[in-house]
Formats: sequence, C-alpha cells, structure tokens
Amino acid sequence: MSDILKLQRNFKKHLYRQTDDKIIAALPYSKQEALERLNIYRNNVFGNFNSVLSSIFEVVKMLVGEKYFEQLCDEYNQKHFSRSGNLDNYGDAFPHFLEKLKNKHKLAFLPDVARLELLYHKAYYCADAKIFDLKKFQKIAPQDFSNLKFELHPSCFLMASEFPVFSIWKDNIENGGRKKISLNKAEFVLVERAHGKVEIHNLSKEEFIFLANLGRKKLYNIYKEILRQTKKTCDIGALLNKFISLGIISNFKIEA
Amino acid sequence: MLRKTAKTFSKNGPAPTKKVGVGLRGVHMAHVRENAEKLAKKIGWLEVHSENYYAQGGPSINNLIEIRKTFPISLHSVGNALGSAAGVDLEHLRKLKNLIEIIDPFLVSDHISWGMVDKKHLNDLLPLPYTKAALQVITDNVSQMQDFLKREILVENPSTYLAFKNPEMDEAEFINKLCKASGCKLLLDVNNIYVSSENNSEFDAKEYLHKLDKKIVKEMHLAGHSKNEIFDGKKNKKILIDTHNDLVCREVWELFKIAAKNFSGTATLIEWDQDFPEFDVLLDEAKKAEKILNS
Repeated sequence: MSDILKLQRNFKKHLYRQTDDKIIAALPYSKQEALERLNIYRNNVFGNFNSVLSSIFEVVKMLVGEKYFEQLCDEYNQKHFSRSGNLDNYGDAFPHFLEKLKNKHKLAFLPDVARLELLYHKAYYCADAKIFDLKKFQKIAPQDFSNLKFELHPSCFLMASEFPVFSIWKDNIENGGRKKISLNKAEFVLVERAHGKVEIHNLSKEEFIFLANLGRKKLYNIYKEILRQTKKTCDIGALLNKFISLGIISNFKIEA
Repeated sequence: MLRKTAKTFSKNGPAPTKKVGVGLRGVHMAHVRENAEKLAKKIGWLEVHSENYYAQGGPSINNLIEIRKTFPISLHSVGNALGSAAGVDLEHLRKLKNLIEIIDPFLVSDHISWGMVDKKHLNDLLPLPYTKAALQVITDNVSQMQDFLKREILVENPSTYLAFKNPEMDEAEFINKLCKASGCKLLLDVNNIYVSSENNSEFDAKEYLHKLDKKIVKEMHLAGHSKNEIFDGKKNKKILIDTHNDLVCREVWELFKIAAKNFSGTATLIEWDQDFPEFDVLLDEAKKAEKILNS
C-alpha cells in the first residue's frame, strides 16, 4: 500500500473516529494543536453533510427539534458514507435510517415524512420533458384508444403512506406544525416538477391507483384495477383530462 | 522522475473580453438571469461550481444554459478529489464531461487536494503532503482527467490549516512540477495564499508568488475569509478559515497587486459562498480588481 494511501486512510479514520494517533504523528505540532487543526477539517466535512441533510429534511428537523436532528445527522454520518463527489444523493438512506430508529424517536410517521421530503429533493433534479402534444392526441383514431399507454413527467413520484403525511408536511411548512392532525388516516401523495417548481399534491385513492398504473397498463385495465381496489366505478376520461392539463402526463404511445 | 501523458486538447469555449468575473451562486441566479445584458457591461464572465449542475434537468441547469447565452462561463469543480491515492472517480468525471458539452466553458478547474479514500468521499478539500509520492498521485490523476475530458484543466492552490512533517518541497515548487508534468495550468487563489501563509509559519506569501512559474497562471481568485483561534496546549493561536463570506481583505489586495504584475492579463474572479450580500457588493469588488489589473 502506498504511503499516500496509508496517510489518507489514517486521516479519514481520524475524522470519523477521532482516535487515530498515526495522523497526529505525521503532523509537526503538539498533540493538542494537531487535534485542533484536524478538527477544522472535521467540522468542514461533517458540517457539509449536516447542512445537506438539514436542507432536504426540513420538516423532519422541525418535528424532532434542531438538537435531536443534529444527533440524528451525526449518527447517520457515521453509518452512511458519501459515495460521490457531489452530495445530491447523500440523504437517500435517511428515511430508512429513521425507520430503523423508530423506537428511539417514537414518531412512527417520521420515516414517511422523510420519504416525502426526499422525493421533493429528487423531483427538483429530474430530467425535463416536452409538453404533452395535445394536437397529436386529438388526432388518434377511435379504434386506437383502447391501446393507448401514457407516460408521467420524469419528475413525478408517487407515495402511499398509512399516515397523513401530506397534511403533516403542509402544516409544518405553512404553519410551523400548529394544527392537531389525527394520525388515523392514510394519505396518497404525488410529487412533481412539471412546471419548473416542485409541487406536492394530496391524491384520492382513485387518483393514486390511476397514476401508479398509467405507465404499465392500458386505460380499461386501470379502470378495472380502480374498481377492484376501491369497489367504486370512476370516470377515467376525467382523470386523464385532469392530469394532462396539470402537465403530469407528458406523453403517450399506441401499443398493439 | 514523473510520468507524463501525451495529450490532444479540444478547443475551449469563447474567452471573455473583460478580464474580471464573479462567482455565480444559486442565491443570485434569478437576478443575473433577469439583468444579464446590463451586468455584461460590468463583468466579463461568471464561474459556477460544476457539481451544482449535474442534474438531468430542472431550474438550476436551465437557468445556467440561459445565462450562458450572455456570459462566458468557467466550470469550477470541488469533487474530483484529484490528490486521492485511490485515483479518479470516472462516474463523477462523466457528469462533468456532460456539463462541459452543454455549457462549452472557457475554463475548467478543480483543486490541489484530496477527498476520497476506499470509494468513500469526504466532500472536502483535504491537504496533501508536499512529497514526490503525492506529486505522482496528483499528476497521474490530473493527466487522467485531462485525457478523459480531452482538454486542459486548471488546478487551484489550496488554503491549508495544517502542514505535514518532512516535506520534500514547498507548495510553489510542488505546483510548478505538477503543471510541468501534467500540462495543467494554475488557478491562483490569492486569498488561499494569504490564509495558508498565516496558518503555517514556513510559508511566505510574497516569496510564493515570485517562485511560481509565470507561464502557468491562467486564472486568479479573490475572496474573503474569517478569523478563528486554536489552542496549541499553551496559548491560543490565530487561524484563518477560507469561508468566502466577506470582502477581500487589505492584505490580500496587496498580494493581488503583486500577482497582477507577475501574471498580467489573467482572468480574475470574485468568489463569495456564504452570508451572501447583494450582487452589487460583488460588482464593487470586481471593479476594484479590474482597476488593479489595469494599473
């Protein structure tokens, strides 16, 4: 192993564990001074990580408080390394990390709030798409209608939660979490950036099933799926119209 | 002896007609986009952190593409970890290459630092020892980056908070050798020279400027820093931190006067990365830099 690799491993080990004396021995200072100088780098490294997590998981931070959030970040940083030279994906494992800590924070809905915030972050960085070609769509022959398949805008993410995750998120963002929200309600959420700004929508179960199946199934099969799951009939045309006009559906194709 | 690599470099994007530019950050993006024509009369170019634009789409990259229509752009990376013994992260470089194709920058740069070990990134600009072994590592990585991008890159001198025992050369010599062996050029950060010279007793800022090979400097940075203290076991010591959150200080302007003479006509940038002021404050700093460059 090269000397440089050894030195860099020791440096990293010290930043993470604060215990490696080999890096201190490589520096021309008293132990105290070496520790203080190394600490500047440690503060930079973990300060960056924490500030990324803090900017993505704003509502999680509001729910648990700044101090506990910092503790959560410190624990996360020790378990999850950055795998890239940019930090866009650094928070990807944070919801799962919170899931594993359920007994500690006692907020059963916290991982789902984190999941929603992560989707918000992801939607911001997704690819753009062309505007739905309405003229081409209006020219489709009636016999081809049953073979239509649709595509969602690349920034669309769907999420189903057993908790009122959208209501919790919205109340914290808009009112600082003052509202009393009953936790006995499942919510379905769509996150998208079809018009440049990331938006979160609270969906009905019917809308959720519709969008979740849109890329995979033909319209009649989606209708049957909604009927099976909700025990109610629905107006597929109205759903299609709504999500085309919102820019959520960005493309279509005719499949044989 | 250092290994060298043969290169064929592609043409860079159009160079600015005005020599002074400003670092563009998200907080000023809307202002710059809305006032691009007016601002182009005051500053010649903009520099962005490449890593902020690796997204596949969205407002950030779309705004940059729009701004590029008015301004020459320099892409300044912070994440290629060029001094890392583990080598270069090709996935990260691919993203940079893609951005270069979109933006057609006139300069592409990163830092003389390391930040990755065992495929784990620390996402910071960590210090290298000035040894032959470290020089070989960074020369190989810079060469690989230039070969991959098919263009010359610039490397920025670091601001350091510590030195290593038993250096085999000083920082200026290290940089001269790196540029000679890899064919890269130097992004001379004048504030970094000042910060490092205040933080490390063996480091003389003026001597450093005179030791650098005149032909290697292709861009200069100016920025502010903050003051802190560390305890050495007996007493408190002043330490400067490269925070880019303040005006350029008097001492750095003095060093810049020397640098402007030594490396005349070099594109110069005002950087500001935290506690952002109004964009006009950056323009005022740019005006000061321009006056010195033209004197």
